[in-house]
Amino acid sequence: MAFSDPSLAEENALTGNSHRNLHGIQRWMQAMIVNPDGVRSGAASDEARIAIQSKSVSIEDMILPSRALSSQRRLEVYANAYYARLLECLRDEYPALTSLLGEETFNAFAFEYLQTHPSRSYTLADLGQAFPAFLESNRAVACADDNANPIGVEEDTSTDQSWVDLMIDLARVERTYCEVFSGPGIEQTATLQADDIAAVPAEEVGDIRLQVAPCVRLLKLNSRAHEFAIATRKGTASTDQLPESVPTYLVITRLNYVVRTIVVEQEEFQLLQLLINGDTLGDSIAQVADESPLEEPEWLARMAGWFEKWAAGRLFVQCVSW
Amino acid sequence: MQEPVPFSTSAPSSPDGIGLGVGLRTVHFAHILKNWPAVDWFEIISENFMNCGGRPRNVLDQIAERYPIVMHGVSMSIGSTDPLNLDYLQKLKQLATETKARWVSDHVCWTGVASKNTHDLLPVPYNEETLRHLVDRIGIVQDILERPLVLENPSTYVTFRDSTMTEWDFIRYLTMETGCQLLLDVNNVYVSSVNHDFDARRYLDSIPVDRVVQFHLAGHTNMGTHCIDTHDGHVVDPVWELFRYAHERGIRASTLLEWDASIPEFDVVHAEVLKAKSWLQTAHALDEPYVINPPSMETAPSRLAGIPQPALYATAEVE
Ligand SMILES: [Fe+2]
Repeated sequence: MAFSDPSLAEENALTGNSHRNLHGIQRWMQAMIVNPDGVRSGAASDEARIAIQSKSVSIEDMILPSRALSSQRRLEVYANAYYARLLECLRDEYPALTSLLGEETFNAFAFEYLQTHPSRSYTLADLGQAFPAFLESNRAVACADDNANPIGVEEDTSTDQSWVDLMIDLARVERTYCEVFSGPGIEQTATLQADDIAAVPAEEVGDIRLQVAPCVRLLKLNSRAHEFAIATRKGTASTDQLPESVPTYLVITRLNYVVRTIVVEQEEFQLLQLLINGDTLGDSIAQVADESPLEEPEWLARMAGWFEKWAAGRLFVQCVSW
Repeated sequence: MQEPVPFSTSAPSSPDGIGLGVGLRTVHFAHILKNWPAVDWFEIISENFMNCGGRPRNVLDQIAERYPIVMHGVSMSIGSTDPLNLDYLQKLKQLATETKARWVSDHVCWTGVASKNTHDLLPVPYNEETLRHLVDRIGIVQDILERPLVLENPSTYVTFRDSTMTEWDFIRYLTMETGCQLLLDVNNVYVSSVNHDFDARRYLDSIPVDRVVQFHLAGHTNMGTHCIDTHDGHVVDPVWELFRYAHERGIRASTLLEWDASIPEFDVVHAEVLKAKSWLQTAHALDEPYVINPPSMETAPSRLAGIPQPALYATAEVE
């Protein structure tokens, strides 16, 4: 069965003889749309030439004009939409960072990010996954970027440093919030109670391991960035009052479908890290206790308080002994 | 397992299919859970729920107990020359089973190539090579999903020199060759007819009546020189007129309103789709010349840089 409409085929036929199969056309079109310098640059790019297996193919050779728009203007609808859509998505994922940097500066970082981290997933939820690591790896660039620093104290490198720290901290917190919000949770699961550990025979307690809830994440930050992230979401944030630069230890989890942030002490954080790594209760406690300046009774009392807090926060699902 | 009890035991608002539905959006979650509005059915964006273990999924499960659910995807990329993503298709199938989805739809488009996803619904050139390619892939998808695939005509902004047939012929051949069904987006037909200077009625005349299971209606943005499918407002009269024209051609299908940007309160969205009843009641006298108003080029764009759909992202709830 022949499907082609002969008149249309003739009308659209190229005078040239370049080979363009569907794959080539798609590679060509994608090269146009994602080109950071626009579709004209896209058309001149190696990528486009390789796609079409031709030394030079103009946009007009590929795309028909309409009555009102040229071939280029029509293709630009897709090119503009590509960046507009993905930048909007990243701004939605990082609202506090957007507010800190201002939309223009945020967009500049996000635009660069998309050059090296285009989406390879069927879901937009994965788009911003590597953004915190991207900012971290561009720390030097961010420090040098005056636009990224409204405080504008160029000589003061420590201010620059803490500014960039805050930026990266915010990115890490906001990404974690997204992942915890839509990841697996404990809403339909029982979690570990203080009694569960008490029920383990004394001689076995040291050998048990605790299984962490799937929604729990630990974050060590250089600032109290979470306060700004939360305030932004509540609409109460102000860039005049930026979070303090101070080592901050966070447990982020989800209770009843809402993301919760728990600030913990350094030793508590360390103990949680060891337990989550799968170390036994005995080994984990011994390691943290060793490094603690506190006397044993005082230290034990504090630890008991932590365990109560963790049970209330539903951080662990169960204890297993083997 | 017990069949879910539909919330509304009355007949659907319209005699066609499962009636008049609304696209499920996160901003309406609280309203729906509180009021259980008398809407006939909900359409979900599949990708928003496929990997989701949080609130959105929990809300969906509650809604799926009370209303018929239809799944609408944006990332199948049926027209791409990249291999089909089998992991994606398995997850899609699993969600369809879990929500008891009435049908599963996506678009006649590709979203990316060379492992990238542009998250846009990009058009394919309409020619025999593309047709063969899509026919093969639709067959594979239907085998995996174990149900007919429902495909939607996208809004498009370019046409290719390599096209040798019209979009409406291409779509008709697809249904003939694969047995796939159609989601006829009347707004997309309109938007594309403006962008590509064709007669929207000619498009509808070519659509096989018995293959259409669903209509989409939505608002768009008139940019003066072209239209963009922004889903950010009311359905314009020329689109309603096209909808009525399709009905007069004998197309009977469940009807859904999409509203994805500047989303108003639920009742406003619901009221918009209910307008379908009055549009169909005031049926056109068949001997009158059928005029569909051309777009007014004076219309100011409602958003200067409208982002074409799909643009979707669920914001985390944080305390
Ligand atoms: Fe649609």
